[in-house]
Amino acid sequence: MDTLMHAPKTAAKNANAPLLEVSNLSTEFATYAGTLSAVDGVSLSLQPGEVFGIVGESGSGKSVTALSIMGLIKKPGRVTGGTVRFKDEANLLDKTPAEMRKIRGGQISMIFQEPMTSLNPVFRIGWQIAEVLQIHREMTRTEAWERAIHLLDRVGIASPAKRAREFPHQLSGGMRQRVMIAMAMACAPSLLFADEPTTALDVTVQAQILDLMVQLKEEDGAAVMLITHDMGVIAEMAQKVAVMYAGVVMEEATVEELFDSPLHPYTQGLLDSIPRKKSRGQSLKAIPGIVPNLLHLPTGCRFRDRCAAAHSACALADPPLQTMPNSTRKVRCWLHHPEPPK
Amino acid sequence: MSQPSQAPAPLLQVSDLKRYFDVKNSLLSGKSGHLRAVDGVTFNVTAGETLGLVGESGCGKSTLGRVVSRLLPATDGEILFEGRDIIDIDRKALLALRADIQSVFQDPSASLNPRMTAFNLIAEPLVIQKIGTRASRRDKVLDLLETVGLRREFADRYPHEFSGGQRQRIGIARALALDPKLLILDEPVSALDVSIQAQIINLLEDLQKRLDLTYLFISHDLSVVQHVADRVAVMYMGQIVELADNEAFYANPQHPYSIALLSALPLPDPTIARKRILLEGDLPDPANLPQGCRFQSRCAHVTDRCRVGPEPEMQEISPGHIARCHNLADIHAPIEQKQTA
Repeated sequence: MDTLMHAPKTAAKNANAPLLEVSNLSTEFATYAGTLSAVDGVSLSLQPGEVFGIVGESGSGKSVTALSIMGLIKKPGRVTGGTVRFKDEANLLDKTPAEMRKIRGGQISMIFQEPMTSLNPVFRIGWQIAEVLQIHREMTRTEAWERAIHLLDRVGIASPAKRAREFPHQLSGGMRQRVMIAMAMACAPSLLFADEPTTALDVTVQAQILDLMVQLKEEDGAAVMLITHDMGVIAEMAQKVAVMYAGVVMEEATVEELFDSPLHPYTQGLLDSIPRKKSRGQSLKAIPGIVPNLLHLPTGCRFRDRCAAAHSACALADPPLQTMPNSTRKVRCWLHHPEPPK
Repeated sequence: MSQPSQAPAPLLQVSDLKRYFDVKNSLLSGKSGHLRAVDGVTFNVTAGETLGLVGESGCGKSTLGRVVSRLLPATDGEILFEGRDIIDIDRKALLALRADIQSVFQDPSASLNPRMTAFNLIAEPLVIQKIGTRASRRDKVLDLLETVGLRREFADRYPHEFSGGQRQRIGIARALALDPKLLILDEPVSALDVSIQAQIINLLEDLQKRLDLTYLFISHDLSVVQHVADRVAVMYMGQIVELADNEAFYANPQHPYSIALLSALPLPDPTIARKRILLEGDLPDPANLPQGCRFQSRCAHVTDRCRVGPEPEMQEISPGHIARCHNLADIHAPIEQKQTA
């Protein structure tokens, strides 16, 4: 089972090795009711410059996966296993907090959903950007301030020198997210985590921010791990997609493969639940039931209770994430496994 | 859908409705003004239809819903429900009106009292209206639980024991308790995951057919509205800027704001390549609106006429399709293109 869960090395034959390679990452949270596995053996790999989407519903473990990679899991959470290879670093999970602080904000940076809670309300936004540069690029205050104004200009904020002196509450939601992006891109990172970067924004502002992210990513050549629940955002932005459910990756494919021919019943269900032009006048094909409690996962496949295609094998064992023949697609389902248990 | 020739009188008629909020601009200057959250809104809702009301945050769509359901008083204008005025009515008539117009809100965990059981939450409207006996109310509540797809055994549970989707079902059961005619659905599925969202949308559509309900469906999500609505109204800065049948709106949007909204919507299909219209700039200050058209600061088609008053009036493009813009003749929506792979 272990061998099946590791990513195939077909990509490594290319000259460009993956930028980030996550193997068997597991993160647990201790609760009064027991220990739950929020991330349960996740393996992913990202090529330089790629936009990799992680899509899933609340509680699927998509944000915890990103926080675990960045070393930002706090008690009562704990990363219990796996390796995170990043560039020449053999395993980010072995780094001390001080070493991780050097990497975060420099080579790896992040944008979160709610810019109001990630910006410090009592500091001028210019200084918040300048601080990143003073720490990671050892610039002087004056140099860093000048650079911060340049960065604000680059993310499309009008009169940046004036705006730099303002506080977060003086900016609109879209502008705050632009400030977060300016901060994240300040040190030209090679990897950007974007966790629901546009979920709190209106659709017209979302379009502006997505465009900005694409533009900056292309200028700087950064890879992006885009975490979202929105299949529309995934379709527009990502090249590869992993679908997560209850702490595991259910399916991984290129964005075209995933939307054209989803293999996992959960992915099919997710895509069918989206209201579209065609669905008007008919019922939506909803997935019955609710996401399982991570403390009481069903035996066998964790999607089995809600799955229309569930059969006897599904109760017997948890299917492995398996690579499809002649393809780089992966799917965790006994329907697509050559030897399901009997 | 409504037949314009010999249609019955609309269930709800709203004319030139206004709702202003007083705002103090600054402590020092002492100047104050009005925030025109709803500023001259006119529309009808026919019995049995779903009118989708879309717009971005701050456009006034929720305030409009609250004024129509008489949770907020109107500043000016007229609301007729079944032909009767519902603005100038006394407490007794208002109480009776509550039975006809009910609301479902976005966040079921915030709109359900955490200290009441599902049973008491759903029974509360019946108790307030003094309807039925204790025993008949019990039967009614248990029936309602089944109507919204919950089990009768759940009656004694508290809101925290339910999932988000189940809580929204309780919110719907509570709204249905008085057998209303009109439901104001204010972002009823926005807080839910997509698989659960589909369950609730299906439930709402099913209930509409079974119980002859009329919906005012308020949402920021153009895909959801496309699925549920018979007609669509787009709001911007307190006004309706476009109103049309579903098919006409999505196939042939007229107002530059509607066109931009639709082009900004990310579609779950990676093979569609679209020209996105990016709106420049942010919303104007609603307490200090510019002269002329409210959309001028973000509009790609702005002309001198838009910058000097008066504001554009509603114009009819085809029967039932109206939009508020001076330059409708010059504006065309971009066409979606399928990439040839």
